[in-house]
Amino acid sequence: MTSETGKKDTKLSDLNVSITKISQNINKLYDERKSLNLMSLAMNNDLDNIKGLPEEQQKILIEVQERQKEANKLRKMRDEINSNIILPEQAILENLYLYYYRLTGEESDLRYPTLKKEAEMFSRFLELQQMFTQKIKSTQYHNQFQELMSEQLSTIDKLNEIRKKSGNSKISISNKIDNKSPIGFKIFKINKKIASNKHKINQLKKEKAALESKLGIKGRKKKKYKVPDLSSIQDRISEGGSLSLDDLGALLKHGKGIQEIEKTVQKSKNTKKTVKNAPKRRIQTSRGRRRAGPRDSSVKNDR
Amino acid sequence: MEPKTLLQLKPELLAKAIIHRRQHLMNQLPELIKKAKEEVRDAEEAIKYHEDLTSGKDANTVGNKEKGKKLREDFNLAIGRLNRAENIFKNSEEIISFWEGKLEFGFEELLNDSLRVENGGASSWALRKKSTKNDVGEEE
Repeated sequence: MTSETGKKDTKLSDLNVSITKISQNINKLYDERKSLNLMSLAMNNDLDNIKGLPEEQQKILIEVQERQKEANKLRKMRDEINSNIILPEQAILENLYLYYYRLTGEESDLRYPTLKKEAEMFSRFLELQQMFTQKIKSTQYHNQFQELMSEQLSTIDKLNEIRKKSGNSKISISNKIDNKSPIGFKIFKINKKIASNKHKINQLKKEKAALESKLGIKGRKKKKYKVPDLSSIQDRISEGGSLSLDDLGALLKHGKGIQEIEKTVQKSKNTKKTVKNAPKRRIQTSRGRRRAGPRDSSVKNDR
Repeated sequence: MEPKTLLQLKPELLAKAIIHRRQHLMNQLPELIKKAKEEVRDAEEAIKYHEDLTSGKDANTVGNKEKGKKLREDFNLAIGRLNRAENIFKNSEEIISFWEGKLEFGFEELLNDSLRVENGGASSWALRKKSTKNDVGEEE
């Protein structure tokens, strides 16, 4: 029974890793598509006729192309690290803690690892440290890549402004794909890959949900903290009833001591009295026709 | 422990922590073994007593069967604990000398994976994933 649950647990963690990997892949494809769009913009639309363009525009387009090369390099480095280190940063840290405590902590029921296992965990621990360092590098590359891409877009805006002033047509990164051009074909292939990856990720998520329900894990809904019913505890104290440990915990957590509660109990009794003395509102049925017009007498007098 | 401390922990320090745990355990083990032996004896006696008590017609009743099963489970647990304690006691010296040796002569093969990742290679997790994928591909 427990081995079955263990198997399901490992399957679940495998699924989580696969989902993270595929979503990383999708993001990678999005970035690739974006940069291909920009490349096609720089290469096909303008650089073919670069000699015919004004010098300022030529410079900008060359700048775009150079920056794109740099961005592509960064993206490649980031993706290489991500394919080598498939665990996300959080999982790396969790594993580090796990291995550290398995290696140095006290185990229940004397279940200490064998020498072979201990050496293996030691090696894994040191590997995880390096994995984290690499992952940080990957994040740095990603941030630099994003920065360059936003620079690219702002440069294109700049170029468009210049072209607008000189009466030329606006350059835009179109969603239309010209399948005949090599870049267009690449974009077309990337779109196909994105679609199939999305399909895969949906299937995995369904599988994960089914597995979670089998294991009795509720979805991602956070467990709501049940606010204890302080009034019922108050009543019990005022009646001289006994308090459970949970009740006492609730009182301590919500910052009310017994004395304070007793005060509030007395206060609430007083408020009950004042409520009793408050003038009652008369609700009666009235005879005759319903009065027309506003019921406010001051308005009536104005008439 | 802070993640930063964990990320900067040197292999030497980790090895020292492992040795410390093993030495601490070795000091405790004689007492733990003694206790485990007592538990085994108690469990054995409980089984014998139960068998004597239920010998005859009552042995096959559901309640007695379950009680017997539970007592045997307790006995197995106690035996398991005793075996583990004795094994640890037997292996502790070897384990401690292994780590002391590493501290003295270097960690060599234990650093292979870490060095591979440091030089931009694939992590063991990625390699395992690739190999399982390949296995599935070959099977298909």
